[in-house]
Amino acid sequence: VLPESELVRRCQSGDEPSFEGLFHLHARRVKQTAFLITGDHRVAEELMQEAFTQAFRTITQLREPAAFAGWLSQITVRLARRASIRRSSERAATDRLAILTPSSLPSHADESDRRQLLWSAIQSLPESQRTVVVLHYYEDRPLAEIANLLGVPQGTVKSWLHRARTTLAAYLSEDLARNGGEG
Amino acid sequence: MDRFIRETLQEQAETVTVSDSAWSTQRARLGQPRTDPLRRRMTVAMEVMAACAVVGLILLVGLRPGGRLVVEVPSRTPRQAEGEVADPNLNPHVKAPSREVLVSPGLPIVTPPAGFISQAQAQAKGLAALQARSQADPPLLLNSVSVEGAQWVLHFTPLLPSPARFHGGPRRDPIPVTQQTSDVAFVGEMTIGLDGRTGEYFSLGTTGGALGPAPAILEHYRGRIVDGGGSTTLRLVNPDGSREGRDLQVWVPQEAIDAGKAQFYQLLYGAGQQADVWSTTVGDGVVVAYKISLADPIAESLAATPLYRGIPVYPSANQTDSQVQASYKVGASRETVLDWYLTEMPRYGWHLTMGVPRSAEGANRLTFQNAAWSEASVVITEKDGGVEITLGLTDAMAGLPKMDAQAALDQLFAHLAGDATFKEFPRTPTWRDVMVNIGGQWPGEEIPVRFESVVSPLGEADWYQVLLVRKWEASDTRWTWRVGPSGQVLLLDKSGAELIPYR
Repeated sequence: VLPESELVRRCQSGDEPSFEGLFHLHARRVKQTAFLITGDHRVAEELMQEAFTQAFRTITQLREPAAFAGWLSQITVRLARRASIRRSSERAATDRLAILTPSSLPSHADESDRRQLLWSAIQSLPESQRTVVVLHYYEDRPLAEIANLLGVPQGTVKSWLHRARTTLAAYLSEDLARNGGEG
Repeated sequence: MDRFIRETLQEQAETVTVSDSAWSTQRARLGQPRTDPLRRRMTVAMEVMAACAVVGLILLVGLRPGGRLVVEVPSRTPRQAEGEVADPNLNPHVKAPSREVLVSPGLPIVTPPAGFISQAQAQAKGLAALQARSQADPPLLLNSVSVEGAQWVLHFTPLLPSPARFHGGPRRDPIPVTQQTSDVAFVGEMTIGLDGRTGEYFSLGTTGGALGPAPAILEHYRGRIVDGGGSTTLRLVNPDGSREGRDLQVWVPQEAIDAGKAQFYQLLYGAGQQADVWSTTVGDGVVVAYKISLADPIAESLAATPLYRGIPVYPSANQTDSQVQASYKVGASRETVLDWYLTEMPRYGWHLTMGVPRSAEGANRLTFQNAAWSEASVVITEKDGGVEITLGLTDAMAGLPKMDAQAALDQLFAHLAGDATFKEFPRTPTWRDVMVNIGGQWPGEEIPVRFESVVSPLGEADWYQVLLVRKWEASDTRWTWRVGPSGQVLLLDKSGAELIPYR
């Protein structure tokens, strides 16, 4: 098995089997990130394909092969954000009625229910906040790196994250207040 | 909570799988033209060509009927175009006729096999269509691209639902409205093409208020499609006039997926039908399938209403900004309220674009649009022996208060107040009433509008200041209104300056 940087170098020379190697290495992670940002498996599938397409078509521009994963992630996040905005705007208001709310949880909700509630809450966050939550909590990226990736000041990232946390906490605390349990 | 968020995201991420065929699909996608310099130049040329043709159409023809069109473009890009009026457009909502524009691309092209539109053409068509949509003002639809010798033929349809009221800036993509007949059981049509490489149909253009596509019709037109080459028109009606729901698979080029899906979706809903829509990526395109059903008598009656015939429909994409909502409980029956909206809204300039049959919860959902492409949604739900109506008004233009839309809603409220069955408002509602109602969030609404500052005296007797906040992405959109004792309303801009005496 070739190391990733070698696969990237070969890709840059047009070696198709290396494309495939890189694809299998990163496909799931790319799709996971896309899914967490867009909340839609079908869209995530499309984004995964598009991200790899863009990456492979421009891979010769990548100077440092070791940076491939981060570069691919950047492409993915950019595509996912764009798709997420478009998806959000395309959905008619009437389609938004199905979002889970604390009041729609059963009175004795268990942890799985609350996870669903939290996932629903994450999905209902504004795109920027949702993206930051995914990058911070799922991809474990430092704030400075997120700021760099999104092209915004670090303070903005902090602000988005803070607002997201506040919103999510409100969801959970409302549920706790209703049920008196622990979340 | 951090741990909980992490675990939740991880749990959701675990639901993601990558199929064994993903790589083959990816490889097929990578096989699309990308490194071929000729193809790339052609794509660029098509983009420039479309832009030039669009600008030329607007500047030189001015959408007047008749006449010839000449488009001047730089020498390295398509140099010249001229055309004659094609078929007059019969739809009353389209004021200008279609035109054919002949453009020489200035580059050698490969003529596709006779009777087939090539994949490159399909892609170019999608790109050009999107280009036209994004730049034309008023919107133009690129209906078809075909090859005649060394020339591409672009077929545009100007779409002018209301030129005088057209606003600049971001807008919704219009759906082409190319033809309408009233004497047959046909209420819509779509333009479809054939992918010469795969033999699959694709679609870029649809018109409003269509019945469900029927495979029988596809078969009926198959020969003509192949013989004619390029795109053609498919009339969506069963030969026997029936509206039996069927499944249809339509091939949509990747480049046109956004427009295509939205159009089909809206097309089907525009007929008052309920459709399950799914799509999946196959090779370099997307197969979109629609399962159409007329499961509810209401849907049947909606589809039979003349209102639905030939009305233009617009995809609800690009809803980018303001949205207001209000809820009412009324004593009328669901049928009465439904009937009221269906008959009265058009009088205020609102066209029905989506009608969803009654759900299991007893809710009917209707969506209307006006000429300014604002959207009003109405959810009618049976509740406590009466009916609850939730109105939502979405403004299509970013950052611009849409007064005509507001005025239409205003009229609507005024009308509602005159109806004795509307118990909640025994008197004429003022905008304060409206604002207070707007403060309520639609359950589960993703982009809520909050009624932030209820009322604050301004030092003038009985004047109130009302602040509405709509959360949107990273920024909040705030509207400030001043409401007078007689319902007068002044809309203020963000700095607090008075903008418009509203009533």
